[in-house]
Amino acid sequence: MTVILVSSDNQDFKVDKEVAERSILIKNMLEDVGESDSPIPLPNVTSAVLTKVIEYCEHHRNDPVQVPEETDDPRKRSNDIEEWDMKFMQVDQEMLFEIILAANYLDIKPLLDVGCKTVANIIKGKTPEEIRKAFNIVNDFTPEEEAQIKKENEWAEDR
Amino acid sequence: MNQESITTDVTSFGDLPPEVHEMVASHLNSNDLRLSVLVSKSWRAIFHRYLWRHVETMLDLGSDIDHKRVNLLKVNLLKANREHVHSLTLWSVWGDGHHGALPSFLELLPPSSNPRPVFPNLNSAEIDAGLEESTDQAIAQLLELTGAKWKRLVLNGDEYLGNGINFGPRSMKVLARHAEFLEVFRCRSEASSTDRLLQLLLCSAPKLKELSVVGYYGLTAGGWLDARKIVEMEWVCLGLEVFQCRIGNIPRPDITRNIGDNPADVFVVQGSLQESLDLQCQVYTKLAKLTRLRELKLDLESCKYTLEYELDETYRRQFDCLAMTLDSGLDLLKGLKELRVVQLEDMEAYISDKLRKVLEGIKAEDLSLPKFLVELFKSDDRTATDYTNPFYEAHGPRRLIQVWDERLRDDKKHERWDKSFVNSAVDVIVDRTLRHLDDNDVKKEWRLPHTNVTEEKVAGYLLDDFGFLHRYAAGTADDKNDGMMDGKAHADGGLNTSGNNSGAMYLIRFLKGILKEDVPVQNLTRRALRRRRVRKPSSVRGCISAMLLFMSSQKANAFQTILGIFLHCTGCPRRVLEVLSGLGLSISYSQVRNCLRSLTKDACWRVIQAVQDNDFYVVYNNINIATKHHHQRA
Repeated sequence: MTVILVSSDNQDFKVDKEVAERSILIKNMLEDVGESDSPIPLPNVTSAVLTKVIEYCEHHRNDPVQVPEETDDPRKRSNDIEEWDMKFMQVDQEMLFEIILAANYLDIKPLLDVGCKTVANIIKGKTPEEIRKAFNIVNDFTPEEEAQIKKENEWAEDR
Repeated sequence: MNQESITTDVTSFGDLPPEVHEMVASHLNSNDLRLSVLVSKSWRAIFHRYLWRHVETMLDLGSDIDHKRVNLLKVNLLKANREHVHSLTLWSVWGDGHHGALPSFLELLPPSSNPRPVFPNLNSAEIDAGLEESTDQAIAQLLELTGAKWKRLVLNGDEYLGNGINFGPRSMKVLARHAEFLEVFRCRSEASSTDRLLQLLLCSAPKLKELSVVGYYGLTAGGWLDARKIVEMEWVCLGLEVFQCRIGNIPRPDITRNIGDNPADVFVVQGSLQESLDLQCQVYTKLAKLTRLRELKLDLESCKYTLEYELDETYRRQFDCLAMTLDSGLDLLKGLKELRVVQLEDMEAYISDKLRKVLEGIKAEDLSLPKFLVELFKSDDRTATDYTNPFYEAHGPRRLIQVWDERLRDDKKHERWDKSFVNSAVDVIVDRTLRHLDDNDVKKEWRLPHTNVTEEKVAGYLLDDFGFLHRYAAGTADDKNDGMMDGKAHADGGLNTSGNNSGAMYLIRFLKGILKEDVPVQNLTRRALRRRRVRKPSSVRGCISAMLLFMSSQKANAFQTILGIFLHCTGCPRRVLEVLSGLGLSISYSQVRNCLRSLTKDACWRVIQAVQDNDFYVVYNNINIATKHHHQRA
């Protein structure tokens, strides 16, 4: 059985129901509506992004539904990304954020997770200046403010 | 100019929803976060809260002004960010003028009568006690600081000074009130929760996954559960994965009660052995209900503070009274599929005790030990084999002999035990293993016997204990015959089987050959032996497979090289070498010369010297040689 998804720029995407149901949002929608051929409008997702998201869902269509691991401790979390996912995420930054937004909206937890890990990996190990460069951000701190923050943070987590 | 003006239509990091920011932050460590808040004002707004989520800090309120000022600043900052704090770790410093972290910390915070909780989101705390004892009241005060429900609580006392964290009734009352979501409760401290309080926790924390309570020795030591109460109480925490706590108050009439200077009756729990076993069985039944149990630790964690008791086995067992025996219902735990770790310090003591009883029984029955061992191993009795097999399989012959050896060594009466004992023990093992090997031989299956005798175990046995065995064997086997017996064993042991089990088999026959005097081929030369072997069709097969094996890998001629060089050094004629190389058992004469030429003169001399002067053993993968050069000349 296939489902028709309509992107914000009115493009139709025909996908297997199984693939579409990787998105909890769509899954719930289909369950609510029941058997129906009417297309599902996704006003928050552009066709370019939707193409990527569907690509991801196709590749992971057979993955078991993962139990979200609840841990507050950042040290226990791993930043490992599967190879395919890593390649999949090699897109420009805007697309990356769009995919994350779409994953969040469509409620595709594993994709959201991969997206966040990718962003975290960009931030990791960089100096503030490098981060600014990577994310195209302008430093709006005065030197005094910067010094103050540094001082405060000094013992936020010291050992 | 700000960020938004650059990226008007473009999605930027700041546009992502807060839950996404949180997820990203969760993948960053504190250092990353610390730098992230320096990026820009908007980034600081995003990440600041996560920077303060897990506070891990060392508070040392030294007496001098500087310390006080710094710490006040720290606490003020903490207060300013109190809403963000989810977990709090307090360390204390070892040194002069420092107080415990917790009292100092509490001193600086507003009193707990404040209706608004200081840390509305705090749900996890880890406290390391310092020099100052953390009182029950202080802990209770800490537990009241939060507006959230506790999820994780880790309390570490200072074992060196015995300054503990006193997790007493007040604290437990507070915790029990907040225990709804409690997952981890870990408490290491001398003076801490009594069994009643722990029972309270087990009956009020449905989500508890880890209960880890470690008390220390001493008459007043807390941190243990009363077996009878365990049986009575209804536990709610059936999802428990880690259970670490002593279980006491079990009658153990089988343990002697004289402990140092202490009056024995202080420790005595009245009851018969049967009552004791029944009670233990009930406790295990209860534990068996914790179907997700991964670790079960009922022993006492060792601790420097109580070193003086460390070696006193009896003393330890007084306090750790739950025995882990089949009688007491260990098999009840079989249903726990997740169980990976079981710790009980009594275990070892029990094994040796049983052994002692066995030995006493032997004496009483006037059985000789060798006889007994043979009977035991040949026994068709299920119980006997059930007892001996796992031990033998898990530890191999070496460990078995070692244990018996140690046990017997204590017995001063048997001055002459050792030789006959070791011999018969080896004999028994040899017999047993040979039976397996023969079975396999008959079945034409070339694999290890299903006992766990691996090459490493057997090889280790040889290398470490050979000298020891050799000494005992000296009286029974003529030294001169060593080489010949080796030859014999080599001939019919080494090649009838091939591959992996030939090593084990060879060794065992070798040992047997040494320890028994009935070696029939004492006067044959090596060459004669080889001729003999070649005539046997099975040996030819073995030889061919050996050749195939070494041909399959070009580098696998180490054994052949060693043998070749060895024979050459002993003055073996060239023709013999060529024949052997034809058989695939040695490298050719010219290769030997090549090898020797590659050595320095000095090294060459040393090789020859070594071969001629000493017994020469080669342990190579699955073939062993022991011989003297004069045997080669006959």
